[in-house]
Amino acid sequence: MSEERPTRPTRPTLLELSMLADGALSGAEAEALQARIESSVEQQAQLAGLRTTSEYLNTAMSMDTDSTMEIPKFSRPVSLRNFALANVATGLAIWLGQFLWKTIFGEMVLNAATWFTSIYLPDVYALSSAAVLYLITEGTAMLDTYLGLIVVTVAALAAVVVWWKRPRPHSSVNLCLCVCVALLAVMVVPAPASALEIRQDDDVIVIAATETIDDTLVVAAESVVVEGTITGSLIAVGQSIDIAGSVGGNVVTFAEDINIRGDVAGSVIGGSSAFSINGATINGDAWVAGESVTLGSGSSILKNATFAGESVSVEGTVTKDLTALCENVELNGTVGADLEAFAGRLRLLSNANVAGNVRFRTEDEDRLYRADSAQVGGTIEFLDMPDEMQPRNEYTELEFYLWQIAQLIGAFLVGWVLLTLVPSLGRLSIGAGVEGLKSAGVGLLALISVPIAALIIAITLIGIPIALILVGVWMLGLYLTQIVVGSAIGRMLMPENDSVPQTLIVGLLLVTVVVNLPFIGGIIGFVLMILGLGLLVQYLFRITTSQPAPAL
Amino acid sequence: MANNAAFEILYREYYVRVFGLCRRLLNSPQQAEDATQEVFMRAYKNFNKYKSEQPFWQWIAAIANHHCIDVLRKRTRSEALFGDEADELDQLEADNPGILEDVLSMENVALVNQAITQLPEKYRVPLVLAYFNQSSYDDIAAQLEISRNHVGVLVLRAKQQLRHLIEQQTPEPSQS
Repeated sequence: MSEERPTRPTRPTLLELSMLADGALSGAEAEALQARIESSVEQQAQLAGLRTTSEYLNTAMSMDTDSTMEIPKFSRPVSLRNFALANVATGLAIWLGQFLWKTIFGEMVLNAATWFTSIYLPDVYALSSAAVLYLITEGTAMLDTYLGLIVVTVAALAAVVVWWKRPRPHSSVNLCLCVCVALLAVMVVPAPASALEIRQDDDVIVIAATETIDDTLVVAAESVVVEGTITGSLIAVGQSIDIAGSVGGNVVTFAEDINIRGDVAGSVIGGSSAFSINGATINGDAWVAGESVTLGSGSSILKNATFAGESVSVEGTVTKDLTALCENVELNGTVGADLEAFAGRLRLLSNANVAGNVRFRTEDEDRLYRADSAQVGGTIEFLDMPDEMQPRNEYTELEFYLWQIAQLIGAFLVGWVLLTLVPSLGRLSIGAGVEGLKSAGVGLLALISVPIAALIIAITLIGIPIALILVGVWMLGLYLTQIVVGSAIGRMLMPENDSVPQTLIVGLLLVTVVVNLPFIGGIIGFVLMILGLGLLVQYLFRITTSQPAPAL
Repeated sequence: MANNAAFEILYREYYVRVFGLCRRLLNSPQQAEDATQEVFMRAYKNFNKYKSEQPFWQWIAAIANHHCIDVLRKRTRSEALFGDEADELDQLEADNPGILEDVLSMENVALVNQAITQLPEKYRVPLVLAYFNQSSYDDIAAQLEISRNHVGVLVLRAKQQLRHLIEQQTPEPSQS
C-alpha cells in the first residue's frame, strides 16, 4: 500500500513574485502565490526586496521633477469659427484705425482748427451754440465725408453685438451674418488713400533725398531730417526737425528746433522753441507757436497764418490773413489780406506790404513802427481788444436777445428729443445740501480732468483721435448741462406738472435769464454748469454700474 | 467662462507633472514640451466630458499616456514596439544580473534616473507607467496593447537592464 505523499508546491518564478510585489495579480492569484511562498523565508525576503525596489523607483522618479520650471502660457485651441472671426475683426480694426486716423486727424482736426481761429474765448453756451450752427451749415459736406465712417462704425458695432449675443445652437448662422456685415461695410466704404508708417529712433532718422514714402509718416527721434518725398502727412517729434523734402499732406511737428525748407501741400501745425520756414511753400494754413517764429524770405504760405510766440519775423509771403500773437512782430514781407497783431510791438519794415488792413491791438499807438517804404493797402486800426472781448452793454443790442432766443429754442428742441429718448435723464434732481455739493464737486472734477486727460492722450500722437473724441464728448456734456439743469429746475417749479416740454421750457427760460444777469450771471452759470455736469457724470456712472439712483 | 477658469487652474497645477510623465515616456524634453501642450489641448477640448468624481491626474495621465505612446509608435515605425513576450521571457531567464535592490540607495537617485533615460523604449515605457504613473499592469497592458504577463516581463527586464547600467556607471571601489 503506497502512502500518498503531499505534492510540494512548485517554486514561484521571479516574474510571479515581481507581479505580486507590484500588486499586478488578481485577488485569487495573489492569495495562491502567497500560500506557496509562506513557508519559504528566502522567497519572502525576495518578495520584500522587490517591494522595496518598487517603492524606491516610485520615489526616485518623483524626485526627478523640476517643480520650479516655468510653465508656458496655455494657448487655447482656435476653432475655425473663432479664427475666421478673429481675422475679420483684426482686418476691420486695422482698416478702421487707418480710416479714423485719416478722416479725423487729416480733416476733422484741420476743420476744427479753422473754426477755432474764427472765435475768441466764447462762453460755453455760445461755444455750444456755435458748434451746432457750424454743424448745420457744414453738416451736408461733413455727412458726405464721414458717411463711410458712420457706416463702418455701425457695421462693426453690429457685427460685434451679433457675435456677442449669438445663441450657441445657431453659431454658424451668426458667423455668416457677421462676415456679411463686415464685407458689406468694407464694400460700402472706400479704402483709405494712404496708410501709416511709424519710425522711431533714439538718435537720428533721415529720410534720404532718394526715398519716397507713400504713407503718412509718424516719426520720433532726437533729430529728424526729411530730404525725400512723403506723399501723405508728416507727424514729427524730436529735438530737431529739418524738413527739406516735400510733403503731400499736412505737417504736424513739435520739437526744440524746427526748420521747414521744402514744400508742404497741406497745412502746418507746430510748436517749437525756434520755428523757421525758409524757402518753403506751404499750400495750406500755418498754425505755429514758438519762442521765435520766422517766415524767411522766399517762403510762402498760400492761405492764412497764425503765429504765436515771443517774437515773430515775417520776411516771406502770407497770401491771406496773418494773425500774430506775440511780444514783437516784425514784418518785412507780404501779407495778401489783413494783418492782425496782438503784440507788444509791431514793426513794419521797409519791405513790408500789407494788401488789406492792419489791426494792431495795443494800448499805445507808439508801439507801432512803420518804415517809410512800408505799404499798407487798407487802414491801420488800433484796437484795445477783439470785439468779442470789448466791454459793451450787450443788453442794449437786439442781436443779444435774438441770439438768446435762438439758443433757448435750440436747447429746448434738443432737450425735448433727449428726454423723450432717455426719460430717466429727466428724473435727475439737483438736490440740496451734501448731495448738491457732491454733484458740483463731481462736475468740477469732470470739467477740469477731462481736458487734461485728453491732452495727455494727445501727447502720444497716436492717441490724438481718441483725445478728440474725448473732448467732443466733454463738449457735448457741457452743452447738455443746461438741459439737465433746466429740466430739474422746471420740475422743482412745477412739481404737479408731468409734461416734459412744459417743465423743460420753463426751466430753460429761467436758466437763460439767470445766467445772463449782470455781475452774478456768470457765477450762477458756472455753478449750474458744474452741477449739471456732475449730475450727468453720476447718471452715466449709475447706469454703467447699475446702481440704484440715490434720492436727491 | 467658469470652465475656462477651472481649466487654467488645473493647467497650472498639473503642468509639471504631465511634463514629467511625457519627458520620461518620450525621453526628450523638447518633444515632451510639445506633447504636454498637445495633451492639455486635448484635455481642454474634452473638458466637458471630464467627470469631477474621477481624480484629474488619472484622467489627464491617461490622455498623456495615449498621446506619448502614439508618438512613440510613429517614431519607432515598428509594429511590435514592445517586442515578443516569449523572446523577452527567454532573455529574462538567461540574464541574471542579481537583485536590483542591492545597488539602489537614496544617494544615487540621480544615477538611477539617468539610467532610466538610457533604457530602451520597450523597457522604459512600462517601467515609467508602472512606477511614475502608478498604473496597474492591466491598464498598462491595455494601453500598450500587450498582455499583462508581457508587461510584467518588460518591467522585470527593465530592472535587470537598470542593474547593468547602474553597475557600469558606479565607480569600482578602490582595492585596499
